[in-house]
Amino acid sequence: MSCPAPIAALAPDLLTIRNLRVHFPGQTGEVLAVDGVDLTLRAGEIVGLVGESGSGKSVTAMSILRLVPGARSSGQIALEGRDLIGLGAAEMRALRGDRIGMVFQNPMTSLNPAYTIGNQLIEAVRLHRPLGRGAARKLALTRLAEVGLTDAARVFTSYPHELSGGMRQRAMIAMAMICAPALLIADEPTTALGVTTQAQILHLLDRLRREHGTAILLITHDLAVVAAICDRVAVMYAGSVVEEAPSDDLIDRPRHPYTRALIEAIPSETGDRRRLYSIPGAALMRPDAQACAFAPRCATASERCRAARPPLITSGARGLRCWHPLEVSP
Amino acid sequence: MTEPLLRIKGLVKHYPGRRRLFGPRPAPTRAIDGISFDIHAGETLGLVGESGCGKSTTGRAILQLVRPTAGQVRYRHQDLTALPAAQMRDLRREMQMIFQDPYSSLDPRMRVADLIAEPLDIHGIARGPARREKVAELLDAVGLPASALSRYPHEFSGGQRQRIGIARALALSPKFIVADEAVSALDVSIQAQVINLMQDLQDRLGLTYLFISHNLNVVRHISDRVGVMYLGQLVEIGTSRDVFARPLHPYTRALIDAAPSLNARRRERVILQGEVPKAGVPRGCIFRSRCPEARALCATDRPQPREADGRLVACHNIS
Repeated sequence: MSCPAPIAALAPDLLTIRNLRVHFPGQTGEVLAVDGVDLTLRAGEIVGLVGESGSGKSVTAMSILRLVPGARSSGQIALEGRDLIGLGAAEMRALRGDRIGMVFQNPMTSLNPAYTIGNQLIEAVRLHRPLGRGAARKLALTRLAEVGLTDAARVFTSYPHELSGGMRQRAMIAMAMICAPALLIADEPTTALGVTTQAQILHLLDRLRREHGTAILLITHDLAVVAAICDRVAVMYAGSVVEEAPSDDLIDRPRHPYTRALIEAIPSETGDRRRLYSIPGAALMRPDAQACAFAPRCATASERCRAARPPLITSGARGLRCWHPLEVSP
Repeated sequence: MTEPLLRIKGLVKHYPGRRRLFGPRPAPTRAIDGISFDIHAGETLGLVGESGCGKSTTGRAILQLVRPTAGQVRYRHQDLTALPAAQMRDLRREMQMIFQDPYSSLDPRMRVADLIAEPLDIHGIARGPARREKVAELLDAVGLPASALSRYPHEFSGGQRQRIGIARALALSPKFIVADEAVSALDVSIQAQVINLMQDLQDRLGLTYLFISHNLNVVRHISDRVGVMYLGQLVEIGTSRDVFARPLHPYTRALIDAAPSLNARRRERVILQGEVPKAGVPRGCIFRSRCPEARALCATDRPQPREADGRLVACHNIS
């Protein structure tokens, strides 16, 4: 469906996240939702951020948009060389919807039910571009056609409830892409859709990044979705990135025990009735900061894993946070 | 072959259109539009399809949780659709349901011990020490510690809550269980635990499952046979191995091809165009509006399920 990474590998860094930490105040002390995330996106690249519920993947994405109310964030987030964490609220508002687009799981929560799709698109354009209504309308119709809504004129005059789930998700993507952003953040964009519609939407995202050079940060719980369109993938566990690699490498040759467990827990396509590999226990809400967060559930954990947290070591295109990486056969 | 545990014949569930103040009554919604299949004792029959295809309604109609508009559900020589409510209530002990959302199907004000004992109380089966013993046994069967008994649902993770739901379903020693998207809301690692548990329980207790899910990989893994639904109709049914390895119906092929997969990455997919229409059609093949192989006959005649390559397929182009 998409070409391999080399084109994007030559592109300049678009987004760099360094040591991002996000705390939430809790009833019994602060909860560390994101614990030292490092991530880089290059122009035109699709990077998957994978993890189970509570791993901090959505909080990481929302932190880029600075849409995490009540949280205390530290570290660096730079988009096109500008530091986002120190940016004023007005400057941040100007960036959202212009240089950064957003697509969420449920389009109904993002679209206003009281306005037509057309009016919402026009508003989104004119917030960022000095265009008249006519020119804004033309751009909106272009985008609607681009996202595969063949009857763009009809969708333009429709209210969100008059569209099917797949059409609504396309309309939301059209709105996110209206100003041709440098970065699109897509949080579980296909999770609520049927299988055949999901395939269409993934195909669409892949086409849009080719046509506009938009980089996409795709947040998902589904490694198979990553396999379909992502160039690279970062796996999160308990607030940290534990492994990062080009998607094919990661799926064929996982080096972190958690990554391998995630892959092996997916029922295989040979369909044999073997027992599925399952990870014992569940992720802790507040892991021991002085130890590897995965150690309590890891089959290969040693004293060292319980005594010291492994650092993220990068080598070539891969990054790994583990004291005892799995051997990879050459 | 022995008599199947359940024989579903021509099952129909139509919901009447909502009458407007003026104008004609709209056509009914054909949630299930005449489906027939057997479920054999001890097997797992998977039911797949996209949202709105009628797979959940089928599960509910079999258990008589929604009353079918027409058709029969034969269970051990009795037609459930014709059974008086009191008799159906007794039979329900033998057929239970596991729901998708363990968060909303458990009463948050009840302790786990009472949640699991509730079916026993309703059917007046066990009291006092016998009740306590049975609850402890069920808790153990689903792999929860005894300390769980005095706790409330919110104290558990999603996977543990689903175990509580399974213990409730097992309380009356059922023979047949409808699992409606039972693992869909769970994370992959937890999903694997629950699937393993369901298979262990089946082996140990000789359960029969109707396993409803939109997740093709999960259904392929757990099911002996699988049925594929589209717009209220069963388009193909056969052994899991056959259906997934060599899908015959054009919709089955499109569905399997569209499912993201770790093994077949970045392949050129044939992506099915358009979306599932809102409602079924009274005439012709229901899939014809999206079918790449539709011909004139498909618009006028509804294809009946026919035997082909060891399974049943409803398609004019398969003979």
